[in-house]
Amino acid sequence: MTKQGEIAIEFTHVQKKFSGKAVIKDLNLAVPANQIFVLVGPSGSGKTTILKMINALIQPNGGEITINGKKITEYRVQDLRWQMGYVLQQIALFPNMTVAQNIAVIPEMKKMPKKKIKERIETLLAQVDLPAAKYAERYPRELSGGEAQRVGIVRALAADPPLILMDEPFSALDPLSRTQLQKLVLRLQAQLHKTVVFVTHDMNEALKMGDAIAVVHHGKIQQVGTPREVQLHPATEYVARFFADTQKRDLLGATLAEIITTQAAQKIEATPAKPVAAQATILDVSGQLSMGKVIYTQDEHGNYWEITAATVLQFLTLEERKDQIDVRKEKV
Amino acid sequence: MSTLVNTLVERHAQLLNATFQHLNISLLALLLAAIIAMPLAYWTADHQKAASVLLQVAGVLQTIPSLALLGLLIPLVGIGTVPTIIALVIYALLPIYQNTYIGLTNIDPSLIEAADAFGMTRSKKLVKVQLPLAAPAILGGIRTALVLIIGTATLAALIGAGGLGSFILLGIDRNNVNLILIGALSAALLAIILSSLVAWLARHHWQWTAGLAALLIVGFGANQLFAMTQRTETVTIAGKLGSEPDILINMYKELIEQDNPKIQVQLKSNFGKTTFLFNALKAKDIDIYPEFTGTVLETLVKVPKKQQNEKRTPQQTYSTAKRLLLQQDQLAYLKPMQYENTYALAVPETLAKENQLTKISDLTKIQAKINAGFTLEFLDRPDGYRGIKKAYDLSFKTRSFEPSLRYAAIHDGRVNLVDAFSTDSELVQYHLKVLQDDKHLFPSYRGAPLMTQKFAKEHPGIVKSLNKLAGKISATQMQKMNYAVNVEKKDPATVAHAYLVKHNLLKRGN
Repeated sequence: MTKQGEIAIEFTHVQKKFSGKAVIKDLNLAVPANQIFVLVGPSGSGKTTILKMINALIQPNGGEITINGKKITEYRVQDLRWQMGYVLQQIALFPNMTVAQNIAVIPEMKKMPKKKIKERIETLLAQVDLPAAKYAERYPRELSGGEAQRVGIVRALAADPPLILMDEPFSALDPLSRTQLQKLVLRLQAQLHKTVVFVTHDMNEALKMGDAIAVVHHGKIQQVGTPREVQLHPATEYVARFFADTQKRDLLGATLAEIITTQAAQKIEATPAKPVAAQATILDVSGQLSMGKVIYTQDEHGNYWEITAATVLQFLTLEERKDQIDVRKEKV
Repeated sequence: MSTLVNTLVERHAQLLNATFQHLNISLLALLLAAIIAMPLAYWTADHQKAASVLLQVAGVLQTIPSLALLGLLIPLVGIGTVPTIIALVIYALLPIYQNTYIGLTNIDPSLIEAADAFGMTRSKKLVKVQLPLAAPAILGGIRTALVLIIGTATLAALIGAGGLGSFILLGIDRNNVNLILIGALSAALLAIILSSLVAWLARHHWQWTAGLAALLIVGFGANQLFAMTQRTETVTIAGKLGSEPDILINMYKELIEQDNPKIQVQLKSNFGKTTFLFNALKAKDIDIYPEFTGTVLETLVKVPKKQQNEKRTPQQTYSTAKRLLLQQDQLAYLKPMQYENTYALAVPETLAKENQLTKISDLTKIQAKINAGFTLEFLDRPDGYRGIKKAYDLSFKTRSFEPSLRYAAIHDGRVNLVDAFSTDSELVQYHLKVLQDDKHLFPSYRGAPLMTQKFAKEHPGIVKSLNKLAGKISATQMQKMNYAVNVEKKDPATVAHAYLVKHNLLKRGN
């Protein structure tokens, strides 16, 4: 077992090309042992590629990767993979197996005694608040997304591997389940002290989960540091902006005055009803709008504007897209 | 309906046998197709180009009409079970391949990624993840293939592989709707039962299905092995369509097997028409079949021009046929039986009694009273009515009838003379008297076993057994036996056995 402060995984001059295009140009990265190490970056940044090179799902075109000082090419591929749990964004529980059978996949391959597997399943399910008596014999289709991913985490931990790889494990979950599972993983980690490599595109999640964070962009590591270091002292302009994006504006607080300056609203000659003040926010009028009512407002030049639920929806869409376009500009 | 039930009761043993044959052929074909198609699909699941080529090929094979495919296979692999199974396998390839391919490629890629990431080996991944997830699609393909195979396998009877199709073929030949229905319904029922069985297993226990398939493979293997160790020699005897050849080959079988305990006789009844059997014999697909002397001269050998219009006695007909068969095709033609299966003139027994009619020339006395019903062919043949007018100096009122209708016409008195084949069961059925052809106008058609010269030399025991029938069986006896099979719907084997027992051709204790 590696001790705190040691290097568990090391990338040296690693390159990866997909159909001739370099996705990872020259990666040098040391992942410390017994911590949650987060790779964060927008989609297409190469963070998932980095993760999948650790368990040899993707082979690098150059450079070398070592795990506990030994090159991964020197491991038998099964032995390499059996020492790391893997949690997928798609969860990917085998639908033909029960919860218990899913969890037992790796322990069985490692020829763990049946009795021990059973005990392990019960202990682990209890730790993620899924009592074995109720859940062990269920099939994945009988689980909610949050429950399924708990099983996914248990499956990764089943054979007690020193290393856990998590590829956007909570991205497909609803916000409530996501928060619960984030807390769950942190709680487990406090007991288990695994070396965890955690991939996410969500900076908030990275800040919350990571003992250390590596910001990835264009296949390059922009900065590695503790959440606090990255937040307070962004190494590049990109990192700084990536953070700014995470403090997203509250769109429901936008005023009617803002809406009528966009193309979404419709100007009218006269108002058939009493106009609402232009300083009112979307939240203020959302009750009326959601009941199908049309509201009217007046701008500083005295023109009347008609605002419907459709108008607001269009406004929100336009604003959201503007954010995305900003992010995309960064990528190009 | 009640006749259907009667037929079913009488032929249940035969039906069981045919069903088993059908099942045997179908399942073997299905297994072979699965053994070929499934690994191919597994391999091509990662090779999209190869997959699309294979799909095209299997699709094209599927479009060849089954009858044509069987026909194409005969020159390559002969007749019988082998070409049937090849054809059925070819048809089953597409559904099994296509469904297995779709089943394997439609698995959520994240599940495959998970399996890889958990360090599963290729075989482990196949057994634990890919097969279980593709199983519904694969089994769907197997069901489709099964139904297709069982339906198409009815054509197997056409090329001598037996099965339920033999009932249909026999029914068509004998104009017996019950037999057709039994064959068709049994095949349909078989398809439905097996298909639902597969569906049920797939829903509940796909592992059982896999186990069952494995068991079947082992079973077939053991069966083949057993057959090989037990190999007494198998001799194949075929017969043309109809009850008469069917009765004869059953006699052959019984005689050969009682005299030669090491030889097992396989019968292919209702095997086909004359040239088909003749070619099958020459190709050694079959070993023996009964043929008529007249037919040999008429269609099977080339008679030298000078001798073509010769008049021959029955004995001369036989010896010419025997000589030419040996010269031209190296075939041995054993001694013929007594009866002639040739044209005949028949009158109601009552009329014969009243006027003491025994031979055709006796008709001269009552020419004016005769009202004849002839088939169109008989009216026009030089050895038919035209010959009679010349040879016997007879002339009477004639009407032409469809072959089957002339018996009905004489039965209800519309006519009082008909042409017939001398062993027709209707002669017994309608109490008709056959008049002797005292001026030997009709050519001789005597039945005798035909085989290759090589086979005859190698099997003197069989030749000896078959010669026991030489000079036996009169036309009346044959009529009665045909009547028993055609009208009373008795099993040809039973009828054959009864004759052999009655005429002391079997050893004691049989």
